[in-house]
Amino acid sequence: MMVVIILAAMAFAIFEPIQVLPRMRLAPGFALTDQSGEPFSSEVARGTVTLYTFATTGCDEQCETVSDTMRDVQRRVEAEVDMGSSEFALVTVALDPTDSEALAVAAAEAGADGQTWRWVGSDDEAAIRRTVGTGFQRFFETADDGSIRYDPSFVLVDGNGVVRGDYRYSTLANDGEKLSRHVAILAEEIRNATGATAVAYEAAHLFLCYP
Amino acid sequence: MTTPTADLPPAADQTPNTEPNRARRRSGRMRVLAVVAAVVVGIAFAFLAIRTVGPHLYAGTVLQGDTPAPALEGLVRADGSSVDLADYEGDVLMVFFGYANCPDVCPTTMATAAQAMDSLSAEDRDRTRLLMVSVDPSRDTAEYLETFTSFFHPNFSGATGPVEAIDSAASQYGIFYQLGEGEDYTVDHTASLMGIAPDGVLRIVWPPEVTAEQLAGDIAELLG
Repeated sequence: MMVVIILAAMAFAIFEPIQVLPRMRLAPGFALTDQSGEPFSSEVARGTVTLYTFATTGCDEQCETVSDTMRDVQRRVEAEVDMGSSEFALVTVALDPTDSEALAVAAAEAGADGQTWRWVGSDDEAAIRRTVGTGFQRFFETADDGSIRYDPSFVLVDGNGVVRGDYRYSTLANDGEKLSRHVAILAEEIRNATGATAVAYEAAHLFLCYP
Repeated sequence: MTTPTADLPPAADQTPNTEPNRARRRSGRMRVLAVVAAVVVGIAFAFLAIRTVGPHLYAGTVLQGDTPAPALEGLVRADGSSVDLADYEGDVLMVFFGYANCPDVCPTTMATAAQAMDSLSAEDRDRTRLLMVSVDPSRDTAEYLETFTSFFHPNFSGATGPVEAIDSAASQYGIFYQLGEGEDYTVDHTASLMGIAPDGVLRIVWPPEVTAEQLAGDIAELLG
């Protein structure tokens, strides 16, 4: 019997019949405000698969690139991914201290509808640094001319507040096809990992069956 | 036109009821019973093997990777000493962000954790501790927190500190909190319970609805 189990485990590891995204670390707890002036916190996002990105409200070239990718992911997920009973949201976190009016302008320019895709931020620079820098582990800096330098990046967080995807280099980050495919893998796990099937999904995590 | 039935063996109910034929039928039934019994025993054995050898199904969300748990910098215990996660190495440390005046989820979570402690073996219990970090530092003194936490279990203790230190710790542990208004305010906060493994890695996050039995099972597994 032990031989059968070991062979089954090896077959599972080799053929990877189920793919999962790793449970990397906890996403930060935060309390920000969205483009409508409503509070947006990590608790509001709980229960929803959320793709985060980071940009400035005075949208620069980097910002346009990440917004293009956000629109691409939104379109692909709506068209191609079965989210089951869970929901999917996109969130752009403003890196510059700002208010809801500036967030609303930036959101409108990017095409964020305020429902599926929100822009969120704070006028408290310490809160932004705590959330984006320490929490999401993203580096950004303010240049002498006041502009903010950052690299395009994305973080995929599941409904339990766990980071499941971290995309931080420009060659990897702006890939809407890959991001939506990862959302689909996560959605499939959420839909199927219940009851006895949960064992198979835990085995997939155990054997690092990652895409 | 003839039918081929003449070449077929007689139907069972047409078999002559002789002693050899009765013995053959008994033998056939025994073989079927043996196969069924073997299948049932095989399934039971496989289930037992999977339960024994297979992965433990944690009630909480298991985090992968080996990054050490975020330090709880700037927080102090009742005796005035700084919280240092190195003090808990080799043990399972449950971390909970709450406050002593909390009307519902905090005492419930503490009571659940205390029940889980009672379910553990004496050896595992000695290696399991809980630290409650206050999200209400203006009302929760370190001494008051100690009284509150040790009421539930002697292995439980409290920590508090400046707002900046609590904000930083809460954010890194995925905790949102927000103070209410008025004199008898309440505090909205994430009610997850975190588990730091003996190697110092933040390994598991339990939802507020975790049961004492599930918690004890996961802790025992973390202790190995």
